[in-house]
Amino acid sequence: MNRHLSMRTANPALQSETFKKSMTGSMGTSEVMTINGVVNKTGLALLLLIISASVTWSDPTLSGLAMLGFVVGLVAAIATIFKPTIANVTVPVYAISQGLVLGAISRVFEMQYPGIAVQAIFLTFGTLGSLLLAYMSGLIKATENFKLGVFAATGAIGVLYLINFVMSFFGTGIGVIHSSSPMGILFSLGVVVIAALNLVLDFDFIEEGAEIGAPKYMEWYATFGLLVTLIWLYIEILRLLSKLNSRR
Amino acid sequence: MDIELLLWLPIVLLTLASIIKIFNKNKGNRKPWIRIEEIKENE
Repeated sequence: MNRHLSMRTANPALQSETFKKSMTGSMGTSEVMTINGVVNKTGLALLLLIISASVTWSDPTLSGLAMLGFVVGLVAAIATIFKPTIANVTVPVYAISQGLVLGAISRVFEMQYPGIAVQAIFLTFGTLGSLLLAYMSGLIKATENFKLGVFAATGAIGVLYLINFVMSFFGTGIGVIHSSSPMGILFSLGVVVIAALNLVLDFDFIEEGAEIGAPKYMEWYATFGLLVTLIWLYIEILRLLSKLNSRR
Repeated sequence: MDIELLLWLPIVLLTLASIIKIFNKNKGNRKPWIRIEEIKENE
């Protein structure tokens, strides 16, 4: 039996149901999803993201462009989730718009703590590389319990962030999310670990898609899932580093 | 010492553990230099 088939993932974009839906529409098409295809598309999407990030990074007056990027990115993400067949268009748009947002965010952090953005970039790609190696070697396996654990932890973080968002309207919030206290740092460290473990679920999703011969457009969809996790991981690392820096 | 450097520790450890795992996995697949086979009668 395929070990991926009863898959659970924390990433709302990456679920086994997605494959089932895509498979019904792809019968008879010759081109199928491959791991190589996902790697190439992820490389392209990251390149687009880095180029657009350099625009808002180099010019702080372009904060309006970052806001536009946030809205366009949100629309592109929703479109990708509900209509994966157009992912070849929406995912590059998502990568470019999120690049604009990340460039502006990184700039703000960098002005406060010089060198923090480069550190966060290296740590994000370092985490990606080490987890990919761990997954390929079989050191970390996406077992049912592992998936369930990561899913529950990600859900809990999501709920916590949502409560914090609602509370912010009343001028308050959950202290531990923003605090630089040892508890705040520990919380951020935990969130970084959960975000990193989501990468393992993404690898598993990609492997499953290639194994069952999902349609070609699912390569873009898998790229989208990987991009969402990487962006989340980068922002959380940036937040953790800023907390550590603020204690100096 | 920069406390941020400590964040690299799990990444480095995980990478090393993976490399060791890959190395050990391949070790078992290597062909032996000498193969001793039992020869049955009339073979």
